[in-house]
Amino acid sequence: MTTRDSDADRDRQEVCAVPPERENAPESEGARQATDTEQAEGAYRAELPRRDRGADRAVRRMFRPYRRIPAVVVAVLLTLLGLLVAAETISTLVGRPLFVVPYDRLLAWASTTPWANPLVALVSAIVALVGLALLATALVPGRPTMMPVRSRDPDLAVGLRPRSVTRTLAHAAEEVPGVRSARVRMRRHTVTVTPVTSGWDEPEVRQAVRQAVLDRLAGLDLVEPYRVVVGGKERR
Amino acid sequence: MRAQMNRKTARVNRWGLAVVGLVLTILGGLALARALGAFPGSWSAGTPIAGGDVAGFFAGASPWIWWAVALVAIVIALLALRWLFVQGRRQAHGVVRVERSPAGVTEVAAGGMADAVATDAAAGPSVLNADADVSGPAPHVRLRMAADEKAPMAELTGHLSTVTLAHLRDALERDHVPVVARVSLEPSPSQHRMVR
Repeated sequence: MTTRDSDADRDRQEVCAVPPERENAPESEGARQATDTEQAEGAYRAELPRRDRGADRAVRRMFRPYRRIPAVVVAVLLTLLGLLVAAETISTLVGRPLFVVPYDRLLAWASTTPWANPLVALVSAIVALVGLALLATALVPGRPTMMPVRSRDPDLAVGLRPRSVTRTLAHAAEEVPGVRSARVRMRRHTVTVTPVTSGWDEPEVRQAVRQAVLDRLAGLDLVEPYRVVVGGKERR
Repeated sequence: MRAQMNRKTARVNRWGLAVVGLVLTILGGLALARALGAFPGSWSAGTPIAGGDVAGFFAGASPWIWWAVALVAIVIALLALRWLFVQGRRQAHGVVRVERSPAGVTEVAAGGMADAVATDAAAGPSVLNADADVSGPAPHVRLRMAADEKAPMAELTGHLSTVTLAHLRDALERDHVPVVARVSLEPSPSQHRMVR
């Protein structure tokens, strides 16, 4: 898709089953094949209403990680730090110092040590790095914990467990005659199937495996498009 | 009201982490720059960390500065505690509000509602089992389901939206009830049936 006016693009968007922003991505070929097969195979799909982009986006957002663990860790540390500082200052102001931390020695050290001390540089570098890491966890949306399924209903968000998806795809590959077992790996938008075949008709079996996995994938009705690669020759 | 409404916690977490991260990055970065000698004059790397001017400032502003420090620390601790409590917000209410009229408010126990939703969802095509959680007061539903791996997911989502959700909307007299379903896939039961 090169330079075209936006109207043509919009028309295209209406017709095309693959989201146009993925058109230029490397996985678009496999994805388009997946939709081709699902149109050819699944008669039940013909009756369904068209996909709802808003609902798709909502589902995708729904299963983004909550960042609970870093949030709890930071919140607990902040609470403890706040309470400690408050307790120490107030107790001192009231005239009965708690002094959990040896301030006198700290102050003596700080008033004699220059900023150029390598320890200062090290500690500040660590603080800055921790800050950057927290910023990254906050700003990067993160991998979804579930694989979003098209729902066509803005109130309904359906997600599949990633482990379930890889397992069912492996089962689909294993049902192909000539395949003894299969391993499936998922990385980003690529599904890599590695079948252990009995050795006959290698190219045909691989093609059949690919087709079986594409069919099963189409049935899962996932929001994101996936490319299927039949990987490595594990012949025995 | 869409399904992402109950992602308030996620938004709070991301904001909290961003603010703390930004503060630490700025403070750490400034201290590092000073330690490496990036600033001239009274901010040069040769000056002591807590030198005469720092001690003088605190001595001059005493004692109110310490009250201010204590106050800021308490505010930070309270905000952090609140942030912590927000994490458990999802199981907050056992009661779902159905209707608000001048005469009063109708409420339904979330537990009974959840059983009904689970039964409804489990009746769907290719669903092996289903378990539901309903929380309120503005109702939202979480489903955990196991489905037959060979069945088309479109049938399952179709059933959820045309049957389960429709019943929910009727029962709760609301136009929108957000439902989140987490589905795991199980091998077809027929594959494992013993043949004698």
